[in-house]
Amino acid sequence: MKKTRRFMALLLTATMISLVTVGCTSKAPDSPSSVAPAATQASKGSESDDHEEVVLEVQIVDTNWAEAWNEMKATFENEYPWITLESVGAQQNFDAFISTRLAAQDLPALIKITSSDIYLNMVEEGYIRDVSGLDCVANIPDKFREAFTHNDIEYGVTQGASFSALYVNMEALKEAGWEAPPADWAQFIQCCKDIKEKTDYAPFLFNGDHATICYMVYELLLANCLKSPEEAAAYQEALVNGTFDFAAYPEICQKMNELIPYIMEGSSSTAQDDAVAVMADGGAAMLLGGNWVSASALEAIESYTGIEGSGKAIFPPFNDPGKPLWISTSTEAGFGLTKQDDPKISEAADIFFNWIFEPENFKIIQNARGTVPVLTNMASDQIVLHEGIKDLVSQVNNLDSVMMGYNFYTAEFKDGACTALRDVYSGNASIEEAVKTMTQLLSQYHN
Amino acid sequence: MKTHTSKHKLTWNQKKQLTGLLFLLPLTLFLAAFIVYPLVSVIFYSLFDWNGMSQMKFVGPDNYKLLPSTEGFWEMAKATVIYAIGVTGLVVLCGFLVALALDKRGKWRVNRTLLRFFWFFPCLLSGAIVGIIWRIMFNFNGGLVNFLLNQMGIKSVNWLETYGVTMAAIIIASVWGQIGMCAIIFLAGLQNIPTDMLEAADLDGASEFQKKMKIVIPLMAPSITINVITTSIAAFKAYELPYTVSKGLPGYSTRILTQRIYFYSFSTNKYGIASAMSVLLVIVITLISLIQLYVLKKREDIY
Repeated sequence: MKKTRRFMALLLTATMISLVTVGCTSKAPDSPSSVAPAATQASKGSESDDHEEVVLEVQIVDTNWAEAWNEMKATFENEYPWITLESVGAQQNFDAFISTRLAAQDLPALIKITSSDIYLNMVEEGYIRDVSGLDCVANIPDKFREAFTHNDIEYGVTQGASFSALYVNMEALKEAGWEAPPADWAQFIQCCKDIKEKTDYAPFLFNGDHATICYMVYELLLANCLKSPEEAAAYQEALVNGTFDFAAYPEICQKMNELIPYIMEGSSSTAQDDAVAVMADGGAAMLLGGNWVSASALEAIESYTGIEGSGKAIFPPFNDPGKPLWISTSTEAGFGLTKQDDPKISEAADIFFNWIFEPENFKIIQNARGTVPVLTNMASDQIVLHEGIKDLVSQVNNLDSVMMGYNFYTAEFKDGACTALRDVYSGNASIEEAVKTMTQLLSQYHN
Repeated sequence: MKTHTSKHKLTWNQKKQLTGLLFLLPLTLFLAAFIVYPLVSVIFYSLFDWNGMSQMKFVGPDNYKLLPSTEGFWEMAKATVIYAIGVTGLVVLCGFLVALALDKRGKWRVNRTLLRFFWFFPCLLSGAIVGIIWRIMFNFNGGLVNFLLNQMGIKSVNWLETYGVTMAAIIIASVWGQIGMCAIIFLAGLQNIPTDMLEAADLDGASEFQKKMKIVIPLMAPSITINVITTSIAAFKAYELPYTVSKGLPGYSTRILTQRIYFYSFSTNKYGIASAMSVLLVIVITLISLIQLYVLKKREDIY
């Protein structure tokens, strides 16, 4: 017995030591040697002689293009062998990640930026650099550049434009007797009703766990109640000033009450990946989401039905019959440069920043995310989007739209409003209660 | 010269003291750097209005005064108390029952080590992993829990979006994650109970229930004290497990205060309010622990 115990103890110790050794010596999945071609390694030695090697920390990778990152990293490191890219903070809440790195005064050289408070504060306090002097910004349209300008400092460049979309499983709709997707609100509600009554699919799903999508359901109803671009501008201004009265649009409450019976149970706590999984399992017929989920959502639908082209993206048809369709759009999160003490790192960061926004390189991110192209010098053959969303991308700029709420509201309002809305979607509270809460929260917490 | 040397020679007692001090030094430094310094800093920050970047503005006790009026504060305070009481009560009770079962002599003895491992295994996982596992299992659409309920002919429950039920869900997940550690402490206590006392009780004709109530539980008082205090402190401080299970939904009903501290620190960058809330939580945990210690110690002294 004693011998067996000793043997077991020795075996466990040996296993642990070998595991630790293997763990310490093996490379991370995206480390240069594991992803870069052999040629990269060969050239690295010779070209590095002219430049001091630099490791560049970048916090730009998002889950929806994480798979494309290795390609991007390998391509860049092949061109600039003395710069090693190290992705940090991927798959995390990027605001929270930056806050922690800010507290440690150890910011990555490239970061993802939005127009939320934290980045504006960082601009004001001099943590983020002005990118207006970089070559790449010449190919970005002015309206996108203005979106990331604060106190006359251009603090980032957008990675695209986003819009709201509805991903439809056409096979589910056919089963419910619909040959074409619904074109307006009345048809949409009728379609939901038919799906609920005639099929096993849940009619309507969204990933309410994500604040942007949670608010998007309400936002689309609101957008389609607005009568003119002036009214849309007034709404956006009131959202910033904290004066918008959500209760002033009772028709939104009426429409929301029509919609609620068709929302798939569990939507308000569903994360993006879970929502895609539900579509892949044939759980729901229609998924509301941003264009950034287009590739995975459409592929999920097609993998379930086994029919190519059965996944179709449409603009959410929340407009009244005969009325123009309004959607919500936004400048997507962008990339910015932080101030670095080491000039070598700043120089390398500039090189990588300009490199990202070269069409040949930018297409890696853009096509992986299915985003609306923003570069003016991009050739049409460089834009390779999923067939199901291609038509929409070309139409986005012709539609009436409101800016997605996250461009205006504060973290406190976002948290409180989404909490109230999630209660509505899950049947715990009425929309009338939620709009009261939202109005009160907005007056208290605004920019 | 001789006198000079003897002056610097340490006595045996001095050497002993020095050795003791040297042993204490690493831990003291560790505590100072990672407990005392952050604690003092957080008290300091709680008196300022600061976003982590700007100039710090002294506001005195204003952050503390603001706390009760912040969105959802009382709901979150209530959720924290319910969660802490639920987790502590169930972990200690279930941990004790598990320990009693694992301590059982007789034919089960052969499998005791294996069973102990199974019960202890969840403690080896991080809270976030336990939370994610349970979130997947509680998923309304295709989660294991609802699948099992459906197999038994029971309708699916919306575990993650129903008031009251979601609190039960996060408590269940937390109990599963912590029960092993508690059971191990109880097992150690059970093995310290003198067998002659139990044999004497047998001779006096005491039943199993009487032996448990009159001998085992009273003698387990120190283990109960440790488990109640450590589990309740852990429950008040919990963050990742409840968050990963429910994200604080529905409403604010499962959003415990640590989640709000994180929100104020890293989503709104209001470090002053976050620090004030942290200080408040430290005070509450300390008070509750002292009360528990006093009550349970008194009970230990009786026996």
